[in-house]
Amino acid sequence: MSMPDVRYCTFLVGGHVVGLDAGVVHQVIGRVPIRHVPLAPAAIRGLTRLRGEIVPVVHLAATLGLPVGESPMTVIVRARKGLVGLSVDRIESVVDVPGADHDRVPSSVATQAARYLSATAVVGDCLMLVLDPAVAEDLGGVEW
Amino acid sequence: MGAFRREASVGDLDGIVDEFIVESHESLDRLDDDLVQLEADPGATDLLDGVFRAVHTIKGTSGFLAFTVLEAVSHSGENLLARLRSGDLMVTQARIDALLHLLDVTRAMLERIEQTGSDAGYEVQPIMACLNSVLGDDEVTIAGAVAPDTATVAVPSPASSPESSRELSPAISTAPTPAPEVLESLVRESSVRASSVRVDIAVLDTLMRLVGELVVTRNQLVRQAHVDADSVAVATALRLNLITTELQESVMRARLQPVGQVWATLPRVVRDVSLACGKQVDLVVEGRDTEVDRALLDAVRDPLVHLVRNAVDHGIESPAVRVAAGKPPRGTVTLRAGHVVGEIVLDIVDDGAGISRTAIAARALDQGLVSAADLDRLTQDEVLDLIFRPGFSTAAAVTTVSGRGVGLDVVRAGLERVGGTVEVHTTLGQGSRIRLRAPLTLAIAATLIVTQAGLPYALGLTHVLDLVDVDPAAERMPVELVAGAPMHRWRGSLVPVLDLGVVFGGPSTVPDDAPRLLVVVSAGGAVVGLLVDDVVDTQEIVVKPLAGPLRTLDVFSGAAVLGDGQIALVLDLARVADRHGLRAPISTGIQPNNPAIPAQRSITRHVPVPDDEFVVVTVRSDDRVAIALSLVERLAEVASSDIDRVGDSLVVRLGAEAVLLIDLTGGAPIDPHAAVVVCRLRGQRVALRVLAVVDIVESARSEGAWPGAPAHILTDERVIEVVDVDRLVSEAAGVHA
Repeated sequence: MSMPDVRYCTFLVGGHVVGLDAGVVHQVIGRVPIRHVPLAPAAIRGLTRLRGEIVPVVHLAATLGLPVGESPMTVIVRARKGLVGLSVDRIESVVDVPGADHDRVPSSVATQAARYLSATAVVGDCLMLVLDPAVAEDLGGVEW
Repeated sequence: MGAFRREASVGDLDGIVDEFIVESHESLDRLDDDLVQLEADPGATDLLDGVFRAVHTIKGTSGFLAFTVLEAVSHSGENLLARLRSGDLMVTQARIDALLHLLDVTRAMLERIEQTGSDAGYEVQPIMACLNSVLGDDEVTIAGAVAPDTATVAVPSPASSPESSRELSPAISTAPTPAPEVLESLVRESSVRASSVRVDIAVLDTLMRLVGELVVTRNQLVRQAHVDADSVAVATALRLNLITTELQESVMRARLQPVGQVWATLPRVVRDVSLACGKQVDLVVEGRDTEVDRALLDAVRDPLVHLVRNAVDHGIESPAVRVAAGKPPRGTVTLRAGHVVGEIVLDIVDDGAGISRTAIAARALDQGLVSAADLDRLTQDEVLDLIFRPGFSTAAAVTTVSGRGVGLDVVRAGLERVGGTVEVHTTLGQGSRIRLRAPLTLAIAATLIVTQAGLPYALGLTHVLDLVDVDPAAERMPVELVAGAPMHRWRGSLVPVLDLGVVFGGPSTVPDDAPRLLVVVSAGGAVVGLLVDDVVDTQEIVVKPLAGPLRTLDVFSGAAVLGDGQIALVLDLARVADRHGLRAPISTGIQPNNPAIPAQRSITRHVPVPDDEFVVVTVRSDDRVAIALSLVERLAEVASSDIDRVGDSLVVRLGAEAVLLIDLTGGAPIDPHAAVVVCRLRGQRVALRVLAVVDIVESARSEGAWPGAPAHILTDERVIEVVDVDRLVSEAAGVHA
């Protein structure tokens, strides 16, 4: 599988290390209040405020079908149609992964998660799941 | 400098000319790019459409600003574009060259207009020849059609002025490479462009957002300063407070402009178009001071010109036809602007011939927009909707005025881009009304902030009618169960009660032990009691649309950041009521008009009341007429002391509001009370005096599918005339409208 060298921001979500292309990460804002929106799809945590803008926040674990925890941290990513927040359990670090170190997503990965994964890579002693930035385009399974 | 000379030649049109120049330059800059892209991708019809429209706009505007030479040149360009668009001609390099050349010539002419105030004497033969040469056979190239020797034509130097030290190249060439003058015009900053600063709306948006955030930070600082009891910090915070408030207001104002600004050119449009068509037309404008968001103003500018032009060209009949139809020879086009909660409404009304659905159908068939089989299946409204199809034109001939097929499709697309709508109402023989609605995206909404489960929600203050304490310890509970449904007795009628917690999918908490608050609101024409945990205060908020999939949650119309930094969701009360099956009720009994009741300020009907329900009233002994229920807001009884005569009209006091009263009874004595039906029409109230309310019936109109049209309904084998409230108001109101 041929991939360019990529710099990833890594997070812990539902017990997995996931990586998101640093290029689409707008800001790691950590713990911020998230305003619950009644009647919203389950994968949507709510809304948060980012310098006067109101940004929807997606529950990443729920979207990927991983065990849902408290996920107190928020990462803001640039989606095609605006900024979107992703709720994660923990902010890890920034890693550079050479193109050759990328692997296919194993076919054994649950289909719901596989939909949003573009590759895997071994980072240190962990397997990192590379998130397709499109995960932010597809909020709670609804196209927008 | 340019402005000085222009003032002498075009007088008060100065500002319009400046604007025309600035805007044309902007669209020309874009067209350069579009044409180059089009050359690379000849199949890009949207690009071609865009170029066509831009050239069409320049042609139209230069036409009514009397720049006839520029108009003629753009007309030729438009001809070529029209044929490219229809597929009649192919996009070739030679044609793109000719069009690019047209852009350069247009720039040079604009430059000249800016310098001398006129385009007279500009030598356009070369460009015309160039454009015409590519209209024919694909083999002909520009070089072949226009010999280089004849292509360079001397242009007299523009009148020199004491202030101007610039020299213009005296020649313009038709060769595809820009001539020196053209180049100069590209490079040199035009004086008009330098004198006005055009700020990108996005910049204003960012400013607005940052100011909002500043307000939140200020609030935190002010709170902290008080907590710390630091007098210097408190004083500083207060000053910051004042400055921030002022800054916020200024930024907000920067985005708002009176709608009259886009209307400035319209009297001239009406005049010129009516002269060109041999018609007599008066333009009436109402609400020119209505402030509109800048972005919206830009979006409606072109549609308005198109629509007004259409109204004169297609709507108003010639004087002879009008007289024959029993109308005054002069037609009237009325422009009306106003705010309705969260929306701006712009009406273009003409008292012309109306739009014939039969003619539309025939025309659409002619132009191949629909097949005969399709046409058979369309409803009357869908037939009317055909006028919004791209390429549709009712004009028999292509004139310089209109009828190019650039029209309602563009209008609708433009409005939809800003989240608006276009509605057409028409009555054959009586005229048409085109209504543009658009949200005031940046409107500062006055709201009541309530909480439910600890989270804040905003209700439009204009919808709030009353606040009632719901204390379980009280003698009589304000919320009672009527046949299992919670109801509240409010001013003599029962209103349904909705628990906001239930709206959000929670369990019913009625009856309940905890004290709560009942907010009586008007929601889509219905009065509903909304049970909430608490009421916080009223706040002016900047409503932002919900992002992405949250937009499908129609019970919320948006979200806003409150003064304390919390995010409040704005409730769309009409949708909430609709979701829970609460439609506009109408109490059949006459309610006493209690002067202590604050007037309901404004109600938007998001949920249309079906058009086939009518209030039947008696007006003279047993004469019955029907009033469309969709117009009726309430029934009331007023005392003679509440009725005043103002000039030639009657006015009735309803709460704190004075409402135009139209007496349908022909002056029956009032003792001591009179029954009135309060209607709402285009955001205005009007009270119709009747003898008595007889019934509410469901019946189909015999003709007409819009409120207020003259029509009849059939009930109990009686034919009852439907009151044309719209017409009554225009007849009776005059100054009150």
